[in-house]
Amino acid sequence: MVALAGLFGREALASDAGEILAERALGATHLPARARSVIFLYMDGGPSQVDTFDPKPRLADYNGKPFPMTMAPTQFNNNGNTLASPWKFQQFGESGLWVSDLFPHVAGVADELCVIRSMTSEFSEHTNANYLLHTGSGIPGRPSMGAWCAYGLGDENNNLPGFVVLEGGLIPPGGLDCFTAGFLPARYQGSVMRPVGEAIADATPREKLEAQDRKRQLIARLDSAFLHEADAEAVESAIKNHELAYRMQAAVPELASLDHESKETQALYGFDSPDPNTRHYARECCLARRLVERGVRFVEVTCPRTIGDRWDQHNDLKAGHEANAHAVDQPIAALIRDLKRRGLLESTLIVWSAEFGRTPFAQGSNGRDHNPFGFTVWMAGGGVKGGAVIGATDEFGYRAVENPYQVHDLHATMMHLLGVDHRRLTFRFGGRDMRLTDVHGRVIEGAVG
Amino acid sequence: MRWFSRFRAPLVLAFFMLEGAVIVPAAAAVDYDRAIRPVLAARCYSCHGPDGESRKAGLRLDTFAGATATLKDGVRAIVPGDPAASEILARLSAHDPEERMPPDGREPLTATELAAVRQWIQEGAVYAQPWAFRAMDDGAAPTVRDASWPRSEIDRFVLATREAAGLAAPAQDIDPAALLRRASFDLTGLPPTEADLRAYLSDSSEANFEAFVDRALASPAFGERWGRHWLDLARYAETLAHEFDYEIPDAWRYRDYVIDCFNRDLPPARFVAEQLAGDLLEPRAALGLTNAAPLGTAYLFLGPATHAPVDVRLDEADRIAGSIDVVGRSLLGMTLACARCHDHKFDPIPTRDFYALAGALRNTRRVESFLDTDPRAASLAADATSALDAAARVASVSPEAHSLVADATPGSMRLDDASDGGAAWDQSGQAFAASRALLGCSADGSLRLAESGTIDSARLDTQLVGSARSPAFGISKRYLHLRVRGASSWVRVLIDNYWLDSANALLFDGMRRRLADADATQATRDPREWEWRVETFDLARFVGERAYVELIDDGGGWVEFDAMLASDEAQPPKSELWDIDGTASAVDLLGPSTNAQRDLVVAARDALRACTPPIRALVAEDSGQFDEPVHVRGSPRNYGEGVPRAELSILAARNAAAQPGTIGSGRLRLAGEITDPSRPFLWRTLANRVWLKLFGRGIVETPDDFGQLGAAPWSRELLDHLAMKLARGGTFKELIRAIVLTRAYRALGDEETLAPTAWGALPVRRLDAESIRDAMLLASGRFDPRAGGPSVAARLTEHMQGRGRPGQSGPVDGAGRRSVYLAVRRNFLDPFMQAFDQPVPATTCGKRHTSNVPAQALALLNSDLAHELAAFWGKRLAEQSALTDDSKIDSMWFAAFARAPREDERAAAVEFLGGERAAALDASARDAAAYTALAHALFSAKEFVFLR
Repeated sequence: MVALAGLFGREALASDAGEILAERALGATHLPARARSVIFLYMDGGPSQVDTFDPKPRLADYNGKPFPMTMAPTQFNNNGNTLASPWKFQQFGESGLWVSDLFPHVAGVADELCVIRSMTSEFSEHTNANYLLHTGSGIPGRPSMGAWCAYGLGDENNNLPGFVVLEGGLIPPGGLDCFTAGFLPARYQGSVMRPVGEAIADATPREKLEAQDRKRQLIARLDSAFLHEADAEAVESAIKNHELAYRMQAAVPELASLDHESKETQALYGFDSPDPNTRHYARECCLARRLVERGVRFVEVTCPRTIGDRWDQHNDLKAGHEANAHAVDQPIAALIRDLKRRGLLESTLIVWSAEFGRTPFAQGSNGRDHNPFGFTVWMAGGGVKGGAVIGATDEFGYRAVENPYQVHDLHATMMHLLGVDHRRLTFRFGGRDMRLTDVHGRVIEGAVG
Repeated sequence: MRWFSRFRAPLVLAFFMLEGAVIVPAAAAVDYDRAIRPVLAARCYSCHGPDGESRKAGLRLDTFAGATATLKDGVRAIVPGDPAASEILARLSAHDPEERMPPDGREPLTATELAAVRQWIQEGAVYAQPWAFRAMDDGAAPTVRDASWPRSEIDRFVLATREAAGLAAPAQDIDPAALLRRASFDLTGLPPTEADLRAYLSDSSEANFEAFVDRALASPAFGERWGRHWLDLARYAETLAHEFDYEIPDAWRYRDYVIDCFNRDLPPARFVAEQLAGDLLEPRAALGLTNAAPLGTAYLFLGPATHAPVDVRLDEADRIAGSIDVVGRSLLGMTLACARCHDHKFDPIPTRDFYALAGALRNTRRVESFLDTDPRAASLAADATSALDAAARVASVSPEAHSLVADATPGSMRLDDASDGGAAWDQSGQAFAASRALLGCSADGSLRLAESGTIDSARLDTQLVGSARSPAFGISKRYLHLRVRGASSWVRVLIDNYWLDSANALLFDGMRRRLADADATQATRDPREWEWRVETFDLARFVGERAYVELIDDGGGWVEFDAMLASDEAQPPKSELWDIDGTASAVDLLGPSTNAQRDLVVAARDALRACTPPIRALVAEDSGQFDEPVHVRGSPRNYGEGVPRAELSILAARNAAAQPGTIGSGRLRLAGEITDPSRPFLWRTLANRVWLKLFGRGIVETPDDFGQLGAAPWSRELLDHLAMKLARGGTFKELIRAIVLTRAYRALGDEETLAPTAWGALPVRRLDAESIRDAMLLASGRFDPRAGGPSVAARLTEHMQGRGRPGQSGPVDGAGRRSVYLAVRRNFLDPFMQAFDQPVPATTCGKRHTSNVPAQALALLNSDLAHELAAFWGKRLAEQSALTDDSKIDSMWFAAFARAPREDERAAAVEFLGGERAAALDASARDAAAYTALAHALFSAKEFVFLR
C-alpha cells in the first residue's frame, strides 16, 4: 500500500509514546538488507575511465593518430586525435585490480572495490546526465536517489535529516535540483551540510539558549491551549516537531565537530595534507562517516573546487586530473579503512561515480570531451563483491561492449543492497506509480557479494 | 492511509457497524468506480490494459470484450455471472506464487478486493465508462433528511453524501472570528484586518459576512492569492534550471497577467483559451497593452531548458513532452505525457493523441515578442504605409523586376525571396509593417525609392522596433545563405525551435548574428546606399531538421532581408545572381505632386514616434503546419504513422460535422475543444481545484489525475453541479463566492467524522508557505502592498551554491513584498518557502504537500527572516510609547491570530515581557527587545500557521 500512502501525503504521526515515528514508506525491507546507509562519492564533471580504472594499452599505439572508431557527436564538437593515457597502470591487492598512478591510496584498498567498467549514460551534457544520475530522469524536478532512500527506509536518527549533501565547494551542474525531493514530500530533500560555517541552515540558534528557553515556555503555553481547542493530529505533530527542532539544534554541532577525532584518524584522512583541497575533502569524508554512524540514510559527498573546473578536463587533462585525484584519493582510501576498522564498512555502501566518462580521443590537443557510451564506476562495502571487475569497454575504452549497464541498473543495485526491490518502492504521482528506476533497472548481479 | 489511521478505536467500531448494518446492505451492487476499476487498473492494466504492445497472453482486462474473450488455451478470464468459470478469480487467489496474479512476488489482492471482484462478476461484470470520460450530469440537488442545515443547493449535495454514509450534518458552525480568518486567508491569502474583525465581531450578521466576502473578492489581493494557485499548475519559475540556471526573459509578465485575469474575473473559457492560443484570439486590451491575450501563452514555455543539447531534436521533443504534461494535467486532469512511448497503460489515451498535441506544439514557436502598448501604433503604421503607397502611385513608381535567380546555380535551392514583402512572415512591433511599400521614408523626411521584395525594418523609420520570422522550413542542404543588410540588429537561424543560443552559444555558435553596429559615417547615410551582404550558416549537423529565420530590430538600428537559399556550397552565389537590379524608376519622386503624400507619411511617422514603445514578452506564435508522426517508443529518430495535429481522440466531438478544422498549428482548435461547454474534462478539473483550495481536500483527491489511477470523486453529482456552473459561463469569483457562502464552508471541522466517501470539514489546515510569510510581513508592519512588476531578487544563503548563482542576494525580507512577487529561481529555490511546501516548479502541482516537519520549526525559530521581521515588529511597538502593554498585546493577538487574547494569555504575555525586559542588556532598547522576543514567539505559535 506504499503508493496509497503516498497518495494522501504522509504526515508525521505522533505515537502514543510521544515520539515521532520514523517515517518510512516501507514497513520492512523487501529483501535482507546488506547495507544500512549509502555514501555517494560524486565525481563531478566526469573522470576519464581510461586514465583511472580501465587501462587501454591500444591507445598508446594510436597516440596522436586519427581515432580508429566512428565518433559520435560530442559536446564541444572539437574532436582531435587519439590520446593515450599519461598515467601508468599497475595491478594491486590479491585481486590484481588495475589502478592508475592517479590513485595510489585507493589502490591500497583495491580488494574492497567492485569496478564496473561498462556503465553508460543517455546524455553527453552535464546537466541532463547529472539529473539522470541523481534522479533516474534526464530532466530537473524528479526526486533524488537520496530522497527515495529516505522516503523508503526512513532514517534511524530523528535528530538528523535522512539525506545529507556534504558541500565540498562544487554543487553539481544542474544545481540543488540534483538533490530535490521532487514530487515526494519536501522533508526528503537533501539537506546541504557545509564543513565550514553553519553546518545546516537554520539549525543554529541566533540567540542565547536562555532566551530561547523563555520563548519556548511561552510558546508551549499558547500551543497547549490551541491544541485543546483544535483537537487535531496535525497540531499535535507540529508541537512535537517543535520540540524535535530544539534537539536538532544540539545534535548538529556535536555531529559537525571533528575535534574529537583522534590525531591518528585525522592524519589518516589527510587533515594535515599540504594540499588544501585534500584537507577539505578529508573533512567531508570524515563527516560522512560520522553521519552514517548516526544513522543518516544517504550521504552525498561533492567535490572540492580544485583548479576550478571539477573533473571536466576539456583541456589540460594532465594537470586537471592530477589535481582532482590528489584532492580525493587519500580521504577516500581513509574512509574505507576507517569504516572497516569500526565495523561499519559492511553496512555502508560506498559508490564512486560521475555522470559520464571521457573520450579516449582528444578534445583539441590535450583534453578529453564527455563520453556517455562507456565509463567506470565502482562500489565498495555494503554487501558488494570486493576486488571484482565487471563489464568491459572496447579496446579503446570508448564504448561499453561487454555487459553494458545503465544508470538505472546502478540505482537498482544500490536499492537491492539496501534491501529494497527497486520495482516495489513507488510513489503515486501524475497517474503513475513512479519509481527511481522508471520502467528500467536490473540488479548488477555480479557486483553483489 | 490517512483515513484508516485516523479512525480511533470507538469510531472504527461505529463505522463498521454502520457499514454492515445500515449503509451497505449485502445486496448492494458493487461500486465499479470505487471497488473494481482502481483495483484492475493498478494491479492488472500494466500487462492487460489499453497498451497493446506490452499486453501479455493476449488478455485485455480494461474492456468487456477483452475480458470475456476466449483465450488461446480455451479459458475465459471473466464469464459474466459465473465467478466459478472465471479464470481471473482462480489466478488472483491462487496459492502457488507461480500461478498467482499479479506475478513476480507482487502483493496479492486483499480478501476485500477479491470479494468485490467476485461479486462484480456475479452481477454481470458491467464495465462502466471511466467516470471522467462520461458527460457531466445536470442533476437537481438531492433532497436531504435534515432540511434545517443546508443554505444552498451545494449544501444539499454535500449533506447527501454524509447522510448516505450514515453521518449527520456537522454539529457546529465555527465561531465568527475563526470564520473571518478562514475566509480572509482563503480569498486573499492574508489575515483579516483588526478593523474588519472588530466590525464583524460586533455584528456577525449574514449580510456583514457577505459584504466582507465581496470586499475580499474585489480586492487586488484576491488575484495575488488565486493567481498563485494557477502558477502552481503552470510550473511557474523565472529561470531554466540546468547548468547555468539562465533566466526566462520577462517571466514575471506572465505572473502579472495571471493575477490580472483573476482580479478582473476573466471567464474561465477565455482564460484557458488564452493559455493555449492567446496569440490567435480576438485581441483583449489589458495591463497597458493593446492586446494582453498573447501573454497567456507563456504557459507553454515556463519549463526548464538546457543549453547546447548534443541532440537538438531530442531536446525539442523533451521540452514538448514537458508542455504536454502540463496541458494534460492542468486542463484535462489527464496524464497525457504517459502516452509518449506507448498507448496509456491505464487510461483510454492512445499514443496518437500525444503526437497530435506534439504536432500542434512543434508548429508553435517561442518568441520574445514586441507587444504594443499604444492603441494608435498599428493604425498609424497602416496609415503611413498607405500614404507611401499613394505617393508611389502619384510618382508612378514601377516595381523592380525583382527575382532571385539562384535556382540557376547548381545544387542550390531558393527558400524565400520575400517577393511579396514577407506576407507569410510573422512580425511583431511596427518596424516591419511597411515592408511592401515601394517607397521609403528617409530620416530627414524625404521619400526615396525602396528595394522591392524585401522585409525591411527601416522602410518607414529606423527608430521603430520589431521582429519578423519566416515560416518554418526543412533543412535539406548543408548551407543556408541569407542576403541581408543593416546595422545594430540581429539575424538568427533557429533549429528545431532551440533558442538558448542567445544565452550560451556553444554548439550553436554563429546561429545568432549581430549586424555591425553603425559607425558615425554609416549612420548618416541612407539605408538604401548600404551594401548587401550574404550571411552563410553551416547547418551540417542539422540537415533533416526544421528551422526558421528571425530578424530582430530591438532599437538603434535596422535590418533588411532580401532572400535566402540553401546550397551544398559554402560559397554563396555571386551577388549579381541574387537580384536583377533596378528597373525601378520614378517619374516624379521629388516633385510637388508627392508633397502632400510625403507630409502624410511624415505626420504618421512622427505620431508613431510619439507613441509609447512596445514591451518585450514571451509568447507563442504559429510557425508551420506540419503533422507530426508517432515517435516509436518515444524516439524522435524512429517515426511511425502520421497523426493529424491537434486532433485528439479524447476530445473528439460526438457530432463529427461540428468538429472545427485545423488552422496553422491547431492550437486554436485545441483551445476551442478543451473549453467547449459539452466536454467535461476542463470544467471538472477547474471546479475540483476551486473546491480543493477552499476546503483543503478535493472532491477528487488527485486534482491532476482523473484517470484510472487517480481517485474517484466522493460525489460526482456535486462535482458535476459545480462544473456545470463553470461550463455555463460562470466565473471563478462567482463559484468561489457561492462556495464560501455555503453552510458547509463554515462548519466546524471534526476529525472524528471524516470518511472517504463523504464530505467533511478538516479540523485544521496548515497555511501555505506564501500565507505564512505574508502574514508575518503584515503582522510586523513590514508589508508592502505594491502589486506587480519585476520580481524581488531571490534571497541567497550560504547553503545555496552552484553555477548560475546571482552575484547578489536579494533582501532578507523580500523588501516587504508579497511572496508571489519573490523571484522563483529553479536552482535557488527559497528555503523558507520550500520548508512549507511551495512546490518544486517541475510540472503541474494541483495539490501541495502539507508536510509537518522539524525544518518548519527551525525556519521559524532561526531563520534570518523570522528574526528580522520580529525585530521590525518589536521596534515598531516599542516606539508607540503612548500605548499600554495591554493594548499592544491586544493588537499583536489580532495581527497573529485574528482574535483578542484571553485573560490567561494576556497574563502570560505580560509576564513574558517582564522577564525579557529584565534580561535585556541594553536599557535604552529594553522595550524593543521585549516586544521583539514576544513577536518572535508568536510566529512559532501553532495557531499562527494553522487555520481553523
